[in-house]
Parts: sequence; C-alpha cells; structure tokens
Amino acid sequence: MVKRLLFGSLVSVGAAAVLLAAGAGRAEAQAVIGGKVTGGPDQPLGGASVAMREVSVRTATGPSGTYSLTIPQERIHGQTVTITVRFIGYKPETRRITLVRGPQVQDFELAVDPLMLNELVVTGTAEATASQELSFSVGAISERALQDVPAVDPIRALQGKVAGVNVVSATGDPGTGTAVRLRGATTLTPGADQSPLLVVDGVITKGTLADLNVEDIERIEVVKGAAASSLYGSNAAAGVIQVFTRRGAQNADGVTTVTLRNEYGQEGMGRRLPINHSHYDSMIGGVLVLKNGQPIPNGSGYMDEPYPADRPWRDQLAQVLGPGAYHTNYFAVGRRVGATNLQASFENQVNNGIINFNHCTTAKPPICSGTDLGYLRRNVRLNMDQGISDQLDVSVGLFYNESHNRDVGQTPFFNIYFMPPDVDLAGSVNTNGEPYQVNIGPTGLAPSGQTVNPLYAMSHTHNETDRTRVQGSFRTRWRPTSWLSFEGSFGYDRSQSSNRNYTSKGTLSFSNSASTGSLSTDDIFDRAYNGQVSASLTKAFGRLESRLKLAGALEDETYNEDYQSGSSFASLAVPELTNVTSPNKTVYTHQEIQRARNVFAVGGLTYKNRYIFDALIRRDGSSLFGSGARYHTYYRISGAYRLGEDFKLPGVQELKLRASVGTAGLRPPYAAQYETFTSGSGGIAPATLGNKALKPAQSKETEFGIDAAFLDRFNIELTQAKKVTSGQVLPVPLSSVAGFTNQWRNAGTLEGTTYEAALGVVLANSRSLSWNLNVTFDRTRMKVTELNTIPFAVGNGTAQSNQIFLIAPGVTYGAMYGYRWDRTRQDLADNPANWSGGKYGSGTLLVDTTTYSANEDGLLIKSANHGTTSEAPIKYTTRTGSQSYQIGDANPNFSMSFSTNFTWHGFSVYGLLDWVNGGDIYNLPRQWMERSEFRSGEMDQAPKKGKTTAWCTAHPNVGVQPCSGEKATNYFVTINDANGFNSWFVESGAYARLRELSVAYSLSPTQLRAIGLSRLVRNLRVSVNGRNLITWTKYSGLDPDTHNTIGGGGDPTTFRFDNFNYPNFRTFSGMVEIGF
Amino acid sequence: MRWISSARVSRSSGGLRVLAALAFVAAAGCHSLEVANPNDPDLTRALASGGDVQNLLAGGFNKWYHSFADIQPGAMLEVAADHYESAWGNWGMKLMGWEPRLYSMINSHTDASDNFRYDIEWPWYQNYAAVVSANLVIKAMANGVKIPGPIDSANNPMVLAAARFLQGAALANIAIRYDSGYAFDENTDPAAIALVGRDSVKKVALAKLDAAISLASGASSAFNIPSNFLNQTTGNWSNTQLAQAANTLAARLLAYFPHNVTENGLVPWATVESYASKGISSGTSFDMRIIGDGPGVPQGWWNDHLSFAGAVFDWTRVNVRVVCLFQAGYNCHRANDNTDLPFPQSPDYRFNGDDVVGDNCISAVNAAAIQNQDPAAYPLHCSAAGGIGGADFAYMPINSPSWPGYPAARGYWRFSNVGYVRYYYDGWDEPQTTYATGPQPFVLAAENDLLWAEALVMQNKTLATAATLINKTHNGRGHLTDITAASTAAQLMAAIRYEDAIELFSVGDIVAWANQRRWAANINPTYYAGATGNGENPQTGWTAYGTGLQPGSVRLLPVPQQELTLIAHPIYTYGGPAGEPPAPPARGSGAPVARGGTTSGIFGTTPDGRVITGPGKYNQIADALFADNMRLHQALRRQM
Repeated sequence: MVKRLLFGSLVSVGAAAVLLAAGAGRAEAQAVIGGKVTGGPDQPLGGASVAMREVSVRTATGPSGTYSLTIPQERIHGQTVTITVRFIGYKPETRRITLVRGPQVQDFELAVDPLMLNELVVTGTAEATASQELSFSVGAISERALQDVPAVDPIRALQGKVAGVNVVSATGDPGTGTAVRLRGATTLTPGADQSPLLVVDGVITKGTLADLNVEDIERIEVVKGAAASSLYGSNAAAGVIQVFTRRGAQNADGVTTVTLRNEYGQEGMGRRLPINHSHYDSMIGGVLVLKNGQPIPNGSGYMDEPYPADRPWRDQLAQVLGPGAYHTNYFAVGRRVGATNLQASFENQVNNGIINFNHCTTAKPPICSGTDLGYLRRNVRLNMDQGISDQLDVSVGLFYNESHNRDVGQTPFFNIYFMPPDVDLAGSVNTNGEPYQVNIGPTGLAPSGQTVNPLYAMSHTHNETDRTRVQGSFRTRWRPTSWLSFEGSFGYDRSQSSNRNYTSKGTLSFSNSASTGSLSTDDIFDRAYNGQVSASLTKAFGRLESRLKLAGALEDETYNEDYQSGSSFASLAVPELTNVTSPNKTVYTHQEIQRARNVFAVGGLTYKNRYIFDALIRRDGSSLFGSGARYHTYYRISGAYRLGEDFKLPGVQELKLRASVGTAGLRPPYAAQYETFTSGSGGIAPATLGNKALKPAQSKETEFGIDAAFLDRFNIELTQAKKVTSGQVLPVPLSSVAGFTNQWRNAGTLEGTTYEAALGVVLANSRSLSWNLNVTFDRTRMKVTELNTIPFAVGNGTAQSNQIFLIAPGVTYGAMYGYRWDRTRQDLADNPANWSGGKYGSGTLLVDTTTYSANEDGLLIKSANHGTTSEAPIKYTTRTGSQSYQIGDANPNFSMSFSTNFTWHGFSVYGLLDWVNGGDIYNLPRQWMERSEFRSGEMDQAPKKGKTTAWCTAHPNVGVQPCSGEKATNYFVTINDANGFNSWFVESGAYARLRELSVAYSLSPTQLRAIGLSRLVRNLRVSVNGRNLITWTKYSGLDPDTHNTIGGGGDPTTFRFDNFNYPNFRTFSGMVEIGF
Repeated sequence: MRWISSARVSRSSGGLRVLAALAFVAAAGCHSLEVANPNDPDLTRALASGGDVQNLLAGGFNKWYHSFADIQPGAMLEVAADHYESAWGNWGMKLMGWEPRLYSMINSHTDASDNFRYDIEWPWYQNYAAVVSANLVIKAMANGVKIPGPIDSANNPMVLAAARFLQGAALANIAIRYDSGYAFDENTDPAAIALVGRDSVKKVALAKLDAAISLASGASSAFNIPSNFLNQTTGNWSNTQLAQAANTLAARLLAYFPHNVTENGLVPWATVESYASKGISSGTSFDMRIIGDGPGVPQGWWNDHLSFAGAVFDWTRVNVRVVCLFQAGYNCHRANDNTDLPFPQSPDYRFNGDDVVGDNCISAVNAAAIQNQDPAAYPLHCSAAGGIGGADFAYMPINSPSWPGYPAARGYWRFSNVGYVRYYYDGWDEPQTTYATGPQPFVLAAENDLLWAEALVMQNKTLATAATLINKTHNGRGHLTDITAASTAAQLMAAIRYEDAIELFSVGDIVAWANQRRWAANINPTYYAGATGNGENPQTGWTAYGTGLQPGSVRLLPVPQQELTLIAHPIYTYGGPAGEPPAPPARGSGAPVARGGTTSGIFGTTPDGRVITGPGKYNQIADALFADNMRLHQALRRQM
C-alpha cells in the first residue's frame, strides 16, 4: 500500500512537471496589468502577492516591487475585477478595475499593519480568512516570534506566545517530546495526555514533534477548543495546532535567497538543591567513629555537626552535571519564479544536555559517553508549489529527519538525591578495579539505602534511540470558475524508532555481584496517512459574501512494535541478543491499526463585511469507536459582529464581538472497545469486558470574546471559553464476580472554564525604531462534575503506582489528595478516635488537647515532647474519620507572559518572560531524601544550634531543652511517612522565568557596502541568545517547571509532580545569520 | 466519444484528472472500519475450541497460584505474624510490623500510603477470577464442549475434577483470609450473589474440594493434569495427586480458618486428620510446586515469597523472635541499638549444620558473594564448596556493604542477624532481578505432616504417629532428637510449632499468620519508657515466635474498598488498637454492617469539608455481568 501511494504521488508530481512544460509557450497576453507595490516612499516590497480572483490569476512582485499580470484574451469581457495585494506586516489593499485589453498601470502603496489584524488564518475555517473576520479565536504565531530565538522544537516554540496555551517540558532531556494543553484539560482517560491534534503542512502527525526544527516554520496557528476545532471532528476536542513551513512563496519574484545560520552555545544547570551539610554521628578527635563499618549515631538525634575536615561536604551535583554543547547549523535556499516557488533546507542540531559524563570506562565494550551524549538531529526539507495553469496548481512537500539520542541509560536524577553528602563520587574504586565505587558511602561503605553511585550507573549502561521520520504532503487545487474550486490533499507520516538499552556484562550491583549483562531493543514503526478531497464555493451576492466547503477525509494508521530483550551474555564484549542463551530472552510484538472516514460541510456568510456567520457539520466514523457506535456527528455555529464598522468610534480601528459554540471528540484508546482475554504461559484469563457501544468522548465548547484595536497601538483580545467534555472514556472496574476486571465506558464529565487575554502594544513604529510588547494572560478552572465509576487516583506513575491526583465528582482536576498534619488543638479534637463514643462529639474527649501545641513549624505536637527525639506531628483525621484530604492544587491561579521586540536601526532586543502564579508542586525527591538518607537541606539543624525560639518563651512551663527549635531526625522520618503523600511536601510552584532573550545586530546594506560585503551578502545578523536564563521561585527542587513525565501514567500538562525529572536547563548561545 | 485536445485537457480538466487520481489512490487505500484486535484474543478466539476452554482453566490456575505466591499480602501478613521482619514501607510491611501495633490497614482504592490497596485487593480479585474461570469451564462442559486430547475420554473428567479443585481452592483462600466473601458456583444466579460470612464461604469451598476428591478418586481412567496448569515439565499431578492436593487444601482450610484461640478449639480435628491422612504426604509424598519460567515471556510462573520475601537480605530478614527458637536460653532480645547479636548455637542443622545434602541451599556463586564480605567474622553454615550445604538460615551482619541494614529510625526491633537462604537460588536470580527457573514449592509435604500431627495431638490420639510425622523434618532435616514416640502432647505441640516456624518458613503466604492468630492469645510486650512515636523497641515481655499475634495485629482482611463501593456497602478495615475483629459475622445479603477498626476515609475530603464517596450503588455492572454471562454461554454452546 505504501508503495502504491508513493507511486501515485510521484506520478502526480511528474504529470505536473510535464503540464508545466507544455503550457510554457502559450503565454499570449491580451490584458497586461502591471505596477509597483511599495510600503512607503522608496520602500519597494518584493514578494508581495498580487491576485485577481475573478480570472484566477496571481503573481508576486519582484525585488523592486514590480509586478505584471497577464490575462488571456478569452477571459476579458470588460468586466469589473478586483486586484488584491498582500504583504506580511502590511494591510492588504484591494482595488476594483475594469478589465480591458492592453496595458494598465496599477501601483499600490500598502500601509503598515503593526497589529497584524489582517493576517490570514486557515485552521478551522472554510477558506483563508483575515483574523479580524473570524468568529472564533485562533492564535497565530508569526515568523518573527519564532525565529528570534528558535526553540528546539515547534511545541516549545509556542511557550508564552499564545494565551491559553500551556506548554510543558516535563523533562529537559534533549530529544524528548514536549506536552501541550490548550485551555483546560479535555480527557480523564488514565495515561492520556491532553495533546491537541498536530498538523504540519496538512499532514496529521503522529508521535513527537521533537524531530521538527523551528527554523523552517513560517507560521503556527492554534485552535484551542471545540468552539473552533469542530472542523477536525472526533480527534480535535483538545484543539488543533497547525504548523506551516516555508515554501519560498515570500520571496520576490525571480529572486533566490540563501540563508546560512549557525548557532553555538553552552547548556548548564543554574539551580542547586538544598542539601544537608551536617550529621549526627559520633566523632573522636575530629574523626568519625565506626562500628561494623558504619558511623554510630551520637545519640543526640539532631543533625547539627559539620562534616570533619577529612570528609568535607561536597557538591556532588557538580560531579554529575556540567556544561553541554548546543549548536545548530541551518542552511536554506528559497526561490520564486513566476508560478513556481520552492524552499529547500538542511538543519543539523547537537543538543548535549547537562549530564556531563565525559569518561571512557572499562565496560566491555567501553562506554565512552562524552561529546556524543545527547540528541543529534539532521533534517532535510523540500517544499515546492507549482502553478500548472491559471486554474490548477500543485504543492508538494517532503521532510526527512534522522536523529540519534544517546543518554546514560540510568538517569542520575534519582541516585544523586541519596548520596551521603560527604562522599566523593569519583574518589574510590571498586573491588574489581573499576572507577566510581558502586556502593559508595560515608566511609567508602554503604549508605543506608540501595542507591548506587550515579557515576558508576552512568558508566555501565547506555540507552540509544535512533529515529527516522519521513513526512510527505501533496496538495492540488483546481479552480474551474472564480467561485468554485476543488482541492485534494494527501499527507503521509512515517516514523521509525529503534531503541537499544544496554548494561554491560560484569556491571556490579549494589551488593558487588557482577551482572551477566542485558540488552533490550525496541523497534517501533508507525505509518499514517490522511487524505482529503473538497469542493469550495465562494460567491458574493451584493454585499453578502458566502462560502461553502464540502469535504470527505480519511485517515489510516498502522503501528507496529517489536521488543526483544535478553540478559546473561555468554561472551563478555558482544552486546547482541545472539550472545544470550535462549531461556533469558523476551519477545513482544504489538500492532495497532486505526482508520477513520469523515465527511463535513462548513459554510459562512458575511454581510457588509461586519455581520459574520459560520456553521459546520461533520460526521466521523472511526475504527476506535465501538462497533455499535461507529459514527458520530459534530457541529459548530458561530457568529461575530464587527461593531466598529457600524459605530465609528474615534481612535478605534476594530471592535468585534464574537460567539461560538461547537463540539468535537476524543477517540478512545486503541484497545478500549475490545473484549480481551490475556493469553500466555499462564493460560487464558478474562481481562477486559468489551463495549460495542463505546463512543468517543464529546467536548462542547462555548466561547465568547471581544477583539479590539485602538489608537493604532493597542490590540486586545478577550475570551471566555467554557468546555464540557462528557462521555469520558474510562476503565470502569467490575465486581469480582464478573471475572473481567474492567470495562471501558463513557463514564464521566470534565468541565473547565478559561479566561484569556492577549494584549499587543505598539510602543514605537517608525523606520528606524520599532518596539512592541505582547502580554498574554490565562486562567483556567477545571472540575470533574460527573463520574459514573469509583473515584480513582492518577499521578506520577512511579513504582507501586503511587497516585496522588484524585478524580472524583466535584473535585478540582489537578487536586492532590493525601494526609495533612494537625496544626491546631481543634484538629486533634476532630478525630473521632479521640472520643470515647468513637464519633466526633460523642461521649468524652479522650485527649487533653491543652497538652499539645503547635511547634515552630506550625505542626501540632505534644508539648512535653518539644525538643526531644519524640517530637512528632500527628496526622489529621476529619470528623468523619477520613484522613485523605486535599493537600494541594496543581493549577496555577493564572499564567502570564510578556514578550517584547525592540528594534533600533540594526540593533534589536527580544525577550520573553513567563510568570506562573500559584499552583502547587509535590516535591517527591525532597520526601525521599528524608526517608532515611538524611540528605534533605531542611534536616540540617546546625543553623538553629544554640538559639532560643519564641516557642520556649511561650511555653515556660514545659521547660524542655534545647529550645533552639532543632528537630530530630525522627521528626523528619515521621513526616516522610514511608513516602506516603502528605501536605509537608506540597510546595508552591509559582515562578517567573526569563525564557528567551536575544540581543542582535543586523548590518544595514550601507554597512555591508562599507565593509565590502554587499555584493556577496544580502544580510548579516549576529545575536547573543539565552533560553531559560533566570528563574525566580521559592520552589526548593531543581526546576519549578516540573511535571509528571510524559507517558508516566498521567497528564503532564496538569500534574505538577516532581518525579526526579531531568530538569530544564539554561542555554547561552551566539548566532550568526548570513543571507546571500 | 470525441477526443479532446491535450491543451484543453491541461486547461480545463487537468485539475479534475489530478483530483480523480487522488481519489483513486484514496479509494485504493480505503479499508473497512472494522478492525480486529490482533494483540489479545476476544471471547470468540479465546474459547474457539475445547482446547482453549481447557486453557481457560489453566489461566484460572495461574490466577489462583498468584493469589498467594505474589508479594502481597503475604509479606505484610508474615511481618504481622512476627515471622519475617522488614522496615520498608512497601505493601504495608512497615506499619503492620510496627511495635506496638499502632496502625490499621487503610482500606482504600485511592490512598497509596503503604499500598494496603494491593494487600487487600490482590487475593480477592485473583481468587474470584479463578472461580469465574472454573465456573465458565464447567458450564462449557455442561453445554457439551469436548476437551480434545490424546486421551479424550479422560480429559473431560480431568477438566471437571480440576475445575472443582480450583473452585474449592480459590474459595478456601478467600475464607481463610477475609471476614466475608461471595460463595457461588456455576449454578448460582448472578442476581443472588451477595456477601456472606466467611463460614458460608468455607462450607462451599469444602464442598467443592470434596467434589474434586470424589471426581479424582473415582475416575474411570487415570489422568494427569496438563503441564500448563502449574507449569510442570514432568510429573504433572495424576488424578491421585489431585485428590491428595485437594485433601491437603481441605485440611489447611479447616485448620487455618480460626482467627483466634477460641475458634481454634472448635476445629473438627478428626476431619482434619481424615483429610491430612489422605493428603500430599500420604502414600507417595510430594510437594505442591510450580516450575518457574524464568525471565522469558510472559513470566507466568514465579514465586515472590521465595525471592523478595525470603532471600533479599536488606529487604526482609528472619524475625528475631524466630531466631529465639534456635538456641534454648538464647537472648535474642535486642538492646536499643544496632549491634550484632551473638551467633546462636543451634543443634538444628537447618541453621547450624553442614552435612545435609540436597535441600536447595544457596548456590555456590551466591554463597561466595555473601561469604566473601567477611567470612571469618560472619561464617555461613552453608558449604561453600558445591553450594549444597545444610543451612536454610544464615547468620549475617546487620549492616554490610552487600546488605545494608534498615534505617535506625524505623525501629531497632527490626534488626536481625539472620537471613533465609534455603530458596535463595530458586527464588531470585541476582543480580538480574528476574525470576528464576526451577522448582518453587508452595505447599510442602511437611506442612501436611504437621497438620496431620496436630490433628492427632489435638485429639490426643496415636501420639507416636504424630511424633513420626514431626520427625520427618524435625529429625530428618534438622537432626534434632528431642521428639520420640514417648513425647507428651505438649512436647509434640511445641515441636509442631517449631517446625511450622522453621521448616515452612517462606513457603505459602499465610501459614505463619494463620498459626499465630489461632495458637495463642496475644503477646503484649512492654516498650522502652519514653519511646513514643518512632523507634519503639520492646523492653520486656516478649517471647519467641509461636505465642500469638501482638494486640492490634490484623487478624482478617476486610472486603476491598472497591468491591464495597460497587455494592454501596460502608467501608471498614482492621488492625491497630481498635482493630480486633469479632467472631466471624453472619452476613445476610446486602445487609451493611460496619464494624471493627477505624473507618478509613472513603475517597477523601474536599477543602470545604465534603466527604467524597463513590457513586452509590452504581452497578449497571451487575446488568453487564448478566448480559455478558449470557453471551458467554451462547458462545460456548456454539462449541457443541
């Protein structure tokens, strides 16, 4: 099938080339309209588009701004036609002329459009529509905002640039995907993230966008919810992001542009963890006393002794982390000649990340992770548009990606939290002579836990993933008449990834026994295509403009996974599965096939350019729906009123009210509809009860908004969107007597309301000085309003499925549930167990609450225990006997971003600042550090030593010493509570981060001439860039932008949960861009 | 037809052609929306033949096996029984082993603390899955499904006997562990299934085991159960062995059912004797065991008790109360510190002997791995040469580079110098952290002997026979000589308790717990003065293993919260100071009875004080169950 499709595409492209050659000699003009397009005095606009729709002719201006339109004789009837001239950043201009034979001169001087009110939007619409004429909200990011500091992937490029877009880099690990959520969450399906539908040049993409480079992107459009995304039907409830890559169409006619951009930089970690600098072990003469090879607690219970001089405290993070290289090389060629434009590019990126492990080891074969650690990517893209005739054009695109991601196999961001603070990770050798003693401890012996030296783990395991990606797109448009056009498109996305995870034979375990080695390989092949044919009708009836599009679409995807693993290598240095004896091999294969067939109609009416109405209906069939519920219908109705057109208010350029309501779906997970029995060496057993009536979840979104532009400086967009997603696809547990453990059902409703504001301000706008400020704001509130199953918890996906985020009716989505600690005497009295009747208020209170008081941390303790090793907080129990309590809410109060572009002559500054106000993070690493390893900074009692706290003054009768407020180790172990989730480790996740900063200088043509480069070089730009430069936060972990990892069992865009993640890091770089 | 010029084509219908070509390509790729799931069989494929129906029974055996061979709740119950010790917060071990027993189990489907969820849910759902599979198989056979095979005439009786065995064995597991359960078989109207007291579950379980015994004993021709029922490679149970196994499980059910001393007095010991005398140690003796399938796909057969719980020495160790048993007068009573206790001088070869061959001692490789740390200071009594020495238990330091100890703040009482190594190699393939291959027992013939002996002693009859039964291991493996034909009932009972603690260590998840809860009243040590909160350590009043559970220990498991919520029943739990369950309740259908222990929060409390409960008596599940069962039956009928 793939071959057939590819062949079909090639034939079409070939045919297009032949037709082009045949038509070349037939240009016999009967009417020639020409002129010049300028953006002001002496400012020719090369590359502006000039179109005459009624006769289906279009062209682009040359470098001097001149153009020429030739209309064949047979189309000239003396009719009135419209010339429309467009150029990015300028207001389009239309002019009606009478079409007659012979030459005509029509010059255009376009006015600057600093507020970008006229940019065209195509996502979710029947046809390209100026943003000011949209009846719903579509976020758009222009080339400028993308290219000042190119992000490492397209999703990260959205960060902070569109209101209501929540971009989450759950892990900073280079080459891993980035999660994005548009407005509120849509799905409750466990393990599902909130990813919108991702479309690149018409290709519905599968898998990560981390493979795509940003330098090629011309524009991104973001449709945030069903009020606009209904056009995409059953897969679009979470919204749509559409990426458009450069096609050379912006080039001036006849001009070839060559761009060479090189960026070199360094990556590093700016933050450090608060680590305990003290211990509580016995010392004699400044030397630790050992018993059984271990230090002996000195009996005080307080960790307030500094480490002795011979074993100083060390910054072990510095031994693991270090600067990594970041560089990209980008080369692009664009050309436009008449009806042909093309763009070809190549990108090479090296992104080492911040794990610094530049050593060769004695592993067999040697693992020399060093400069090749991290993510390496090479991309090639070729886009071409070809007008075959005035009515027919063809576009093709081809993208090839190859990436190699190599990391250390075992992340150090777990083990590093448990190393005793005084050990030198590289200081001792193993019993077999290898470096980095595996079970290094305070005396060269074991810490009280089983965490191996991260340097050793890194030196004996490695993990490599190679991916290749091919995307192809083909599109053809045929416009037989001025009001009717047909379009066919085809998109193809193929990805192949191969992962190898290797542990060398002889690798020591914590107990010093040598591993027999292991290897796993995981090969994933995914092939998806989507195609669409459509007919569009546009017709004006007086001042009423109408448009209608009818379309049919199909999608087809096949996913195959082959996994093999083996352990126990026969030979030392052959890391292949052939070197593994057969009982120790594991094989797993998995296949998923998905298909969809969809039809839709979308249409609209615009009257007098101010009353706008839009409606669509779509019917989707998907193989993912239960066989009894194969087809579902979606709709959208929206309208807008451009108030400012009827009531001309002074200084107001645009004032529009808009409202839209629409529905879209979420397809169930692949296996959800099926009845399954597990099968294997243990026989057959019922697993999931099938559901033929399983439907997609349905999201209905209602959106209201006001758009205004005034004083030629301000552009503001306010939106309120309410999203109700019902029929959530959930695995519903069954009674034990059913035999099957669960059945997927449509069993819940999630509601969310988002308020968005976007403000654009033109602070200055002249030829030599321009200064823009963009501010976005959003606030989202989400709640589960209905749940026809047992409440369940989802979360971090770590071992034993510890879960913290409760999904229950009436509960905020993103709320954390766990224990909290008594803080008041009333808290203690609330506990029904403290009453003789076993119920709150029944009988007598068994506890004398006056003997309890809140300590320096605000936690209720038995007063007499203050200052002793028995001082311990008490778990709160509600009057109804519940100990599970809402202890946090991951949702920020609001998020804002501020970005600015300042340009003065050749000098420019661009900055982007993100501010997340509020929202809690669960700090699991801190909790684990208090488990037993005594490493958490808050366990360091030395700063309190010898002081007297107000508590002692307030409790003169207790008389327990010390009164310094020092807390014993036991106190923290109690709070650690064997890693049971509790309120102590819920921290505010508020932060502000300077995400992007660029200071650049572009040499003017005069300057280029002055240095003699003008003949060779079209433009030259140098810049200094920074990413994630500074973070302001009170969060004590490594990174406040931390979330549950992707694929870890939860929603990374909502669940802020520090799960020992690879932190996001900062990058400094210098960039030189040369245009030829 | 009129040919049109190529120029015209290119101008006016070229677009149409391109679109047509595209449509053609699209149509060529147009497949049906009906997509089969290639990864897992559905009902039709799962039960496409009689052979597959038999495999459904095999799947049921696997579910039943894992209900007790996995880590939960056995690790927790062993710790609660003072048999193992562990400080780790996994699977409730830390809290259920706390001294004193301050904590109740958290019967919650959402609360992750100490993961009691898995302790409480695992045996419940595994065993009922096994019951349902057995029911379906019996129904299928009643509908005429023939089980193919080389001995086709014998296979149907085999499958029926094995299915009855599975029904009984799985329900017995429920009756021993839980205070209530569902007692149903293939003939029960699903609408009538309701929670009943554990006594009722026991009765049905016993009846099914009796039926299995009858079918296996009365088989017209001999049979062997298929190898995939228990992953046997050779020596699959014959019909005789199936009957023996059913007898042993019936004896276990009756003997382990009491959850306190009073009930232990009500055990029909004559019946126990009758079952045990026909059990797996009667006639040709054998151990009930599986063969581990190693790290290959899909790892269907392994035993966590022989791996995690029995052989990873920084994970669990042998409780010091058990160590007390090794040497008369040995002061295993630990001071409030982490010093190593002295090496006990035991006459028992399982601890101290060097000469017993063939009892799966630790492998040479791993023995060396332990010994190499400091063989002089910590001698192992397992012969390094050849790795087939006599030790089931090994003395080892509390802390060493290889086996780091527990955090001191979790209580010194957990610190033990003894690890269990008998199944080290079988259970755990260090350091690959994969499950090993090889035979892994789950009920030893010795257990049947000890139940048989106990039944005799409790009836005070044929004590010499009891002595012989005890001495099979007491003398046979331990080389101990204190039990003779002349031993008194009290001496015999003490020896039974000793053998239960030593010989059955780590085999089966509930033996120690079931024995401790029935053998003696609570032990109740006192603790170091002033030591509240963390780090309590018994000061006086503690005794060796075998003298009962500590007050507040879990004596029964509650019905899991998920199941209770599905039937709109109040949530309850056990354990902790208020957690003593009363006598086994008689539970009528749907009569909600909340009792025992602290009532755990249901799903939590919102900031405004609202208690989050389940959706009420939600269960269209019941409807779905009926419909589904009907569908299953229809499908099975088609097999006829």
